[in-house]
Amino acid sequence: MKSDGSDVVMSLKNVSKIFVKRKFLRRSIPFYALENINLDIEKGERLSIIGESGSGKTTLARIASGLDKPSEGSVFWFGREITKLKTKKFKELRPKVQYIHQNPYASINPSRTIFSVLADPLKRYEGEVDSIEKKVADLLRSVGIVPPEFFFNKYPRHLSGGGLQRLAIARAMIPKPEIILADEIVSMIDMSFRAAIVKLLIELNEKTGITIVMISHDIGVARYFSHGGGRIAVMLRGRIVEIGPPDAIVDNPIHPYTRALILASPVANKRLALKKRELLPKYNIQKEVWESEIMKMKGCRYAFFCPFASEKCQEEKPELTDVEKDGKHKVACHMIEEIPAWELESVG
Amino acid sequence: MSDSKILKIENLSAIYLVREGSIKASVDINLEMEEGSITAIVGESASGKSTILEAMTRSLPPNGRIIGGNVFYRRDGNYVNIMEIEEEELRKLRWSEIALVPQAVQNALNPTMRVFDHFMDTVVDHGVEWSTKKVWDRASKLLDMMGLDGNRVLRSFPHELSGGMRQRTLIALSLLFDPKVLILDEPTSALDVLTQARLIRVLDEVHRELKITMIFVTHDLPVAAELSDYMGVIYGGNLMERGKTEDIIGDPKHPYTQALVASLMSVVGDVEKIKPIPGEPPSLLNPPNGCVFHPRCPFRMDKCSVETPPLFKLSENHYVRCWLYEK
Repeated sequence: MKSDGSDVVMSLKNVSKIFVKRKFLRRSIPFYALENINLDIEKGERLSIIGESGSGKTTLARIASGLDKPSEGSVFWFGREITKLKTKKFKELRPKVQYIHQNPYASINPSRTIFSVLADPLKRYEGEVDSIEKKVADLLRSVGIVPPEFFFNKYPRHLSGGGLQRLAIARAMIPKPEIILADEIVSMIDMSFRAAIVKLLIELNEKTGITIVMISHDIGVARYFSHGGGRIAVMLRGRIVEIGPPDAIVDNPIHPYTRALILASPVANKRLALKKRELLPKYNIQKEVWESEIMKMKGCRYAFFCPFASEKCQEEKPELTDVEKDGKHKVACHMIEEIPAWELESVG
Repeated sequence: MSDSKILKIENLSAIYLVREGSIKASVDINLEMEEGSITAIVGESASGKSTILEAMTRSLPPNGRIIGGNVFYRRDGNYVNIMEIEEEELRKLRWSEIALVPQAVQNALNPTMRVFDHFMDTVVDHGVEWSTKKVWDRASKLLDMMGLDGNRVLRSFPHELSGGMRQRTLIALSLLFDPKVLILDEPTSALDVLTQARLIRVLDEVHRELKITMIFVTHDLPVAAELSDYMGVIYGGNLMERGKTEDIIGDPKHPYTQALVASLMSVVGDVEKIKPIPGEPPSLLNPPNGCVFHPRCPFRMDKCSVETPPLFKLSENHYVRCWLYEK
């Protein structure tokens, strides 16, 4: 690891997560929540992981952050495999990777004041210091909760969803982490706040150089978060189907599923909306497939819905391959040659 | 002109009684629905958008109170005031003429009953004398229209269907008696992007086929833009702007609508131009004096924090609640 890429802070090698579904009097069926994931996250990167519900994006984040163990494969933090570390060493590294939960109403203790929510972990990591008030105030100010002194003796219920999420971000910053995994942090908060919260993460990343991985179901949010140097990974049923910088994923997507996702995201422009609605069937066969049938499938997980699918797609699982030589844009699809040029202008 | 309106909401106000006082969830709402049109009510969570739907159908929770206003519904050429008719009369009106599909309706099906039994139950409960075969045929036709395999779905139990399928099943159920008005509360909120796109298309087709009047509430401005003809923007319990969808999206007049459109994180458009809205939404328990948006408004004037602006008429269909447009 150290020799080939010293700036990779986190990496997943052949990670799979298998849940076992049991049926009465029948053999248990393995369910792959994640299947053979390989992912290197570079220092200072803004990586978005997008996918629909059940695509395994949260499982991926939980495994990457050490909250869950992979069934197969291994997770590396700063070049060290975390399952092989001694407990003491792991405890040393643990604070460097922080996880922000989806639901801010549940992740913050409602019976403690905002001051103590931040002051206790501060004391834990920095020891008893005289200037604890000032430190808490600085933290609150850095996430836009102002004036900080006003909120010291308030309780979490006095903050809105967006305010709570800011508090959760401030709390995650206390141990001076090098990596933050933010799981769907804007899905529970109001739309007029969403852009502000994502902006806050972008600013944290730019100011402190911290690596941030954001999980989202919304490709528009991912595009905003990862623009200017980040990457977007698209997940489908436990696999990464396409990964690359936003101008590749949004402006020149290859995988039919990525294209379908973009075409399905609603836009405010009515003319464009109609055009998108016309194009969508070209990349997505709209039919009802019973979940049990999808589970049986051996090949590409999109094959049932893909208008380009061939016999090979049904039988053989595609691997991520480079679209161009620079290796930034990768896609897992057997039919790359058949996919037509992308029709949608993103800036219009 | 007034005859083409199927529903008219006039000065509707509703509050919720809580221990700390009263939550002013909808203040002086005025809306009109053209027959056969789709109206979207857009607002953030806790802006009072669902309250409007519940107040106009008189289905508020026990601590909700309607404190004023009228809702006129056109029935056989005459307007009846929903606020004044008898409970029994209202019960007949609901579902057979005005159908309300509440939020998170995917979970509304009884897990121990087959889908068909839900249809049968509804028919029996409304005292309609249809034969089992007629109910089956009608239900399966409606489900087909929703893009589902009617005969298979009717025989299934709810757990066999996905969230999107259950959602469409419920909408089919709400169309059973051919209502004139279909009201949907957050129809797409718990769905995945592809399922949501599908539902939008299905609703659009249903609307075109049945010429039904639709009203729906959403927090998602782009969803509203894709589906609706008219739009009302709610903020802090107040109706800030209403008009034709293309006017509101293309040329928003109210500073809140402008800020909202600028903060959309869409897959199209210039990423550099996305602009977050500063500040916090108002508490409906103690709303700010004057205009509810003034603490966050970039154009605020002295007057804004003192006096609530009325709805100013800009054109035939476009109204804005903002002092900037005072003549």
